[in-house]
Amino acid sequence: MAWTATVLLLVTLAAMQACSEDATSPLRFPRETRPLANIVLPTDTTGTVVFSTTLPLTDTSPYLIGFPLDTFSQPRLVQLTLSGMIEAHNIPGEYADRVFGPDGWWDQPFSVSLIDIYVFFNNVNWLGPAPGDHTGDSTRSRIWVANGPGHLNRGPGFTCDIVMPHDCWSYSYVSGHAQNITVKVLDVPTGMDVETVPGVTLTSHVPAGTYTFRWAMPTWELNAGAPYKIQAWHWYPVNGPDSILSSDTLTRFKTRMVSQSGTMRVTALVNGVVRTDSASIVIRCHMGDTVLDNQVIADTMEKAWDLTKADSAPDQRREQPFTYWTDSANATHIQTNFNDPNSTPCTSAANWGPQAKTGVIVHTHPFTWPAIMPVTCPKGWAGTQAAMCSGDDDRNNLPINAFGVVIQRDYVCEYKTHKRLKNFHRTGPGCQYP
Amino acid sequence: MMLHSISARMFVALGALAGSSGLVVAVAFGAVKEPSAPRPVAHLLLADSAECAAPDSMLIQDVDTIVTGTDSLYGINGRLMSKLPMIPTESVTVILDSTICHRARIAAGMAATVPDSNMVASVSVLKVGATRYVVSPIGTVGQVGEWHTHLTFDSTFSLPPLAAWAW
Repeated sequence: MAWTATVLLLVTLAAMQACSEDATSPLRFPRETRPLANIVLPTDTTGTVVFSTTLPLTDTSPYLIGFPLDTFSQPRLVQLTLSGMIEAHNIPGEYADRVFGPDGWWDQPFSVSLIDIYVFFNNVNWLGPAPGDHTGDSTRSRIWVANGPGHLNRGPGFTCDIVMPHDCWSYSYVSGHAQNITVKVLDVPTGMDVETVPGVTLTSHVPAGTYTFRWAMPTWELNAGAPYKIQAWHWYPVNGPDSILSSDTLTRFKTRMVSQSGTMRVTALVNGVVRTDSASIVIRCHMGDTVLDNQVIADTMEKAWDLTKADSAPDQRREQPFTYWTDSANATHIQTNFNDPNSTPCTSAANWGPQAKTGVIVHTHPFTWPAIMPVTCPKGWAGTQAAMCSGDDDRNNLPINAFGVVIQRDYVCEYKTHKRLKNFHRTGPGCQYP
Repeated sequence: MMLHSISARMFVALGALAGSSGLVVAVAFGAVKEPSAPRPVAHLLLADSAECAAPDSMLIQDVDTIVTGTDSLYGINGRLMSKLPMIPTESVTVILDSTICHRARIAAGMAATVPDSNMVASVSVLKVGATRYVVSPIGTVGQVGEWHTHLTFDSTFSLPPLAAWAW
């Protein structure tokens, strides 16, 4: 009994000492200002377990956790997971009225130091609101940047509530239950995307302009402080020489005036690994027509082509039409007739609106030129090849000042009634027609 | 004597005449003179049998484009698609001969995916150079959505045809 009382006294004294530690002492374990939530990683997070071991039941001496020293010669994002059974004891009589509530917390008696940084696992166990002694299972993890050798300390078994007046608690490990630590190096998926200046909707083909290329990491990685350094930005235009752009090692955005299609590639040291990623941008050709160069028209043309599904199975393909016109009051109109059930791979219909003054009627042909027509087109002769503009296209009676446009996979055909105006390949010099 | 073939250009010039005068023309020619007038849209009823139909002037324009074109789209690829030669437009003639139309009609039907000599009731025929015929089935049988089917045969209407193409 005397021995037990002595131990309790020592623990109490130690706890009180801990409560009054100098905040600047290098030996002090920094506390979180609020409890940490358990880390929930995205489901697609992957990583490599570099260390996982079962700790002795009673030994509280520091451990060198098992990864090689050179494993973290570069900063790496790791997930530390601690688990095991612990007991929490309040000090009888002294903190008897302490009630664990949602804001109550204590340290699980593990800490991991990575160089000089100690990682705590606060609020690691929730044993219940009742005062007194508690025993419970705990599995908690945290993401941390590891750099250099790691050490594990299993604490002496006390901690204090950060809320004044401090409540201090002692700990012990439950005999017969394993406690484990796992260190997993997390993969840091990255990606490149393209952002536009405000107000521009980025589609596959965009007009020449200023675009921002962004090297992206998921939010959780950024919040966890995933280490990275941008090493280089390379711009590869489809025409002309490549160029290396100036680089700030931490700026994940690169803005550039883009006048022709190309690919931006970024090289970065991410989580200790050199990674590259790229994003391409396709610049829409200037078509030389005030109607077709209209952003709305061009976007609608692309949408029509996408819905055509020219590369899908024949029964999935459809001609897709739309019309655009200016009425007598100079108001512009656009009318799509996409996915009309009466449209087939070989026909579609689009009507002019009232008072058509100028405009364009656009439709798609879900094949290239020359090409065999889709087998779903009703026809009596197998293997029939299709021309670019059809006879009906040529015969269409278009309103005065209006013209027709046919989009096929590789070519665009412009026509007026009984007259073809222009045909051009959809890939221009450093650009792409809609 | 009924003229059974006629220069395609003369044919469309007659079409212009018919279109402007409202007449249906059936005349004989002692000599062919190249017209300079642009080609009209109007059809010309000049057939000498129910199996022969006057070709659409657009068909003549299209074939002219194919056989003379130097561009990759309608010229080079057009000839590749239609198996027609590169020749002057003067070598493209409208065929109105009932015997040829009959052979063309039968050949077109027998060339179908499901061969049927009665499938095609009438055809328009163009002779392209000395060795090619372009046969266009008339009516819905030749219609494929917004397209119309044309068949290229050799001079003996051998099966299968040299090409099936749609314009």
